[in-house]
Amino acid sequence: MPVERRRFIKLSALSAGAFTIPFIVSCNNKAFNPAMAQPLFLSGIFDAKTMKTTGEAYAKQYPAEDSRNKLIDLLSENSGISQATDAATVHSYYAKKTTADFEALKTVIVNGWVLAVTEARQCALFSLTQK
Amino acid sequence: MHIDARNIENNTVIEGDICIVGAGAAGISMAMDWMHTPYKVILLEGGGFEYDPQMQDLYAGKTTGQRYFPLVSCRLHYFGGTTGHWAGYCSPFEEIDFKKRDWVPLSGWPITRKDLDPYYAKAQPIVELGPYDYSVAFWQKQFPSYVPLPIDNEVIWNKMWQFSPPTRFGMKYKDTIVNAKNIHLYTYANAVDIKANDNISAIEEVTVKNLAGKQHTVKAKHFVLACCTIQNARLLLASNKQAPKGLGNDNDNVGRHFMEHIEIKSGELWLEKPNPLDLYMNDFVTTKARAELAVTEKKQEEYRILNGTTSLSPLEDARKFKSMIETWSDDVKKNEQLFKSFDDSAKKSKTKKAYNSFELFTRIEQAPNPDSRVTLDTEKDALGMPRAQLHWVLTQLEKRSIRKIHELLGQELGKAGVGRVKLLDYLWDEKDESWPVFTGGGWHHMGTTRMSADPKTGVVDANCKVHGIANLHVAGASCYATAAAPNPTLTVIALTLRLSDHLKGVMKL
Repeated sequence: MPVERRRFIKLSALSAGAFTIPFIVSCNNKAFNPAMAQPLFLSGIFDAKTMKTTGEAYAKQYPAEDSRNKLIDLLSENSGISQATDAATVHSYYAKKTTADFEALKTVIVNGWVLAVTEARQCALFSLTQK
Repeated sequence: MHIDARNIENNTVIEGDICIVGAGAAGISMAMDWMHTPYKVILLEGGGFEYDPQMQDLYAGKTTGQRYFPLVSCRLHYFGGTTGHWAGYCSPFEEIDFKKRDWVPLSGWPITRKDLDPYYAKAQPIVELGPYDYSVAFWQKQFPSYVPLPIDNEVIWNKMWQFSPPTRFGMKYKDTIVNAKNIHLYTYANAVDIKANDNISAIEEVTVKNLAGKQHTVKAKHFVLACCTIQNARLLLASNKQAPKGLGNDNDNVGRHFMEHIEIKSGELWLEKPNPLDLYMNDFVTTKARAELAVTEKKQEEYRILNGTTSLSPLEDARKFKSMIETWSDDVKKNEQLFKSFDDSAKKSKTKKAYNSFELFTRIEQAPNPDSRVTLDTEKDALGMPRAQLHWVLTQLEKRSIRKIHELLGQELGKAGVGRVKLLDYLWDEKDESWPVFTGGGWHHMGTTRMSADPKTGVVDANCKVHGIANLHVAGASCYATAAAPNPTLTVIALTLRLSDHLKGVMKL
């Protein structure tokens, strides 16, 4: 879906809660650091709607990952990131992981976008937090 | 010397050493190569010096298969030929384009890029280009703002294009040809039949006609067909009085393997920060050279894909235009206006210097396909010659290749942290075999008299001589064994100059 006029998601706005990503979760849902659902590069070129639809499309394409807890597990794996980790550190970690994905050709095509698996999962997590 | 064939006595016998049929880029380049020699060159042009709808109508024909442009307006039927409306894009073929590739049916030429290099160099000034140097480094020295994207050149590289003004051969070389003492240009001399000797091992004469009701005979030692891909095939197929399947067609190859460059919008590139990307821009007016993104030979081999390149245009400009296949008219004059609107728009768009989104536009070779072909229609033109019929057929290899090229682009630009690539929706599903309505070509007709060392798989040999016929040669893109990615004109001229050299050797010049 082409986006005619993008209103880029500013990370500062995300961190300030412009797009609500809850810390408080139900007993069935794991808690996670909200910065995990903020793909750094894509935040510069996607608006919230595009990020959400891309995340939804990824989840549909990979139904085994269509779960908040599953995505949190996959994104957190060996990351050392906790809810207390500051946003800049989280963004930096996932930016590096995204680059590493591209280098290892761990990419997916979602709604036509050629994305690193990590950032696609971040989009999916973002979309689940928007429901 | 110029002679209007309408004004000479009917049934005139015209004699020369070499007869070149067609005065477009190939025919004129060859004729100029023979100036100041002791040989008499007959250059036949079907039209006159100006556009004439009646002459243009001789190129009309039906199309079936993949939607295509009206044949009547794809080629121009006057002195200078289709250089009258070409865009001037020039770039040489790559080494891989000449090689046998086991994933591309019928690929492999009997010549190499090295065989053509000296002729590419010689072709450059004919179309008023810069030096025969297509390296980014050379052009970056001329234009320091030409900064390549920081991509891994083991996967994606920058293929340079140079732009001809574009040279309109009809205007640029009219005086040169008309004033050349040994070049005898006949206008309104449409070749309608080729007569061979009894055992069809050599050509004796060509019959020419015009709408003034005159018919003449041209005799020469050597004949060169240079009347474009569709017309070369049409003329050979229609010359069927002695050989029922047409001349040079013992193995049913004439007209087959018609190829185009698929030219189609294919994706978007989104950058985090606006960038002018000067190296990749083309304003259609002043740009001397630019780069397009191409997949390396190694990766083409690894992924078993065709050779193609991707150009970049600011998305906000690109979105203003419908595809050519949706706008191209059967009216040549309307099409001229269409080109002018692009030029005007390009001039206006130069006010903005940097962009963060670009349209990705693919030009890609079509794999040789015997089902993609030119045949003769039952309908005849005003000179009594069967009209051409084109059946254009694409395969899944082309579509898979476009998808893979963009996936690779996306991976490399992502890896470099430059941007993200989005494929257009017709490329999303790798199992989808359909083509969108805006699928078009570049008006680049190639392959109907393809080159092959083996007569079973080609019409002409490595010297562009028709297999089995001693003195019949073909000049132009109809000789291409494969289409490569670049626009064909530069290679047409290079190949023609190589043929010219060969003929000089044969005639011991």
